[in-house]
Amino acid sequence: MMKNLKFIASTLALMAVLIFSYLQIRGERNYNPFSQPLKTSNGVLTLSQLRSENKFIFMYFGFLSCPDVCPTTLSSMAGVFKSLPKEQLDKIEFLFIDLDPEKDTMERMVKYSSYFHPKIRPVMLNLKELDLFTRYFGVAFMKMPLKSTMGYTIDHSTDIIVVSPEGKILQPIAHGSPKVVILDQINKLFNGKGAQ
Amino acid sequence: MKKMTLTLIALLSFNLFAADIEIQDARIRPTLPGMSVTAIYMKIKNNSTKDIRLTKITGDFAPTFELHNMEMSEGKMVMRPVDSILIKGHSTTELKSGGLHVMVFDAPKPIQKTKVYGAKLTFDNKEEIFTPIQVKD
Repeated sequence: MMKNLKFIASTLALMAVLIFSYLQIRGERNYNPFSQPLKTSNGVLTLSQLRSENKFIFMYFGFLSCPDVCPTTLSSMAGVFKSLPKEQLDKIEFLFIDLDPEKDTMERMVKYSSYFHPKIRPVMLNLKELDLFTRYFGVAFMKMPLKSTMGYTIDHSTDIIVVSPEGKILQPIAHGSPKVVILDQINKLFNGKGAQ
Repeated sequence: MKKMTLTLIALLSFNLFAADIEIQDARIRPTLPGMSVTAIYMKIKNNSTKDIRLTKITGDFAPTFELHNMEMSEGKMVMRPVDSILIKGHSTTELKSGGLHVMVFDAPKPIQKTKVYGAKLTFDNKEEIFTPIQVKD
């Protein structure tokens, strides 16, 4: 009798675990990054909202203690923005998505971003949301402990993700691309040749 | 005649004592608002036949300097501290964005374009070189 009870209990426990993990996976599979609320300095927005405004969405993922790659990319994009005609610039939303929400704050993200260009809009997500969001766009990041004053760093993808107003993921802007190449790539977006 | 001798000596000594190590284009990125971390880049030219290693860098504008390397690995930019930076005999090693660089921590005052900076580089052959550093974005 006791043995039976034990068996039933463990079977039930196993089923509970299976159901739980199934629901978890299904939840992630149903995850829609376009409806993910993105925290900005002036309220929450979603990618769907930006799409409805007929905007190309550029997303760069980085963090504030990033000493080299992030400032290089943001300053190169600032140069690009300064050369774009206003009608194109207005049709682009550039999101700088923070990968270190445990340390960074929105206030510092805003100060940092506006140093480069007002077009750069900081976004913060919590770690769980970041995990799902980045996975959808194929962006990898990993916190790595370091024997350094930094304590840790975040290894991360460095390409800028580009999404069309139709929600299609287009060719990313590769890290280190010269300004003329990026300008050409953006021009092609507006001429409808950006999709592939 | 005297003048010529002097010129000759000057020329000769220049050749004889041409520095083993030359630092070119040393530059530092201005610190960004709210940040106390930044990076130094430069070219290090080794005119000698022996390999040398940069082991340390110090300056009065920040308490901590580290040598770092960066590289792409599996689609991610990976940055790691390194113990030293090798400059092979008769070659130049470039510290630049996206590669080897010196990281500067906890600068108490912002690094600004209007100011002048300098740092002391120490090599494994005990040689020490002081270099001026320009501020560049």
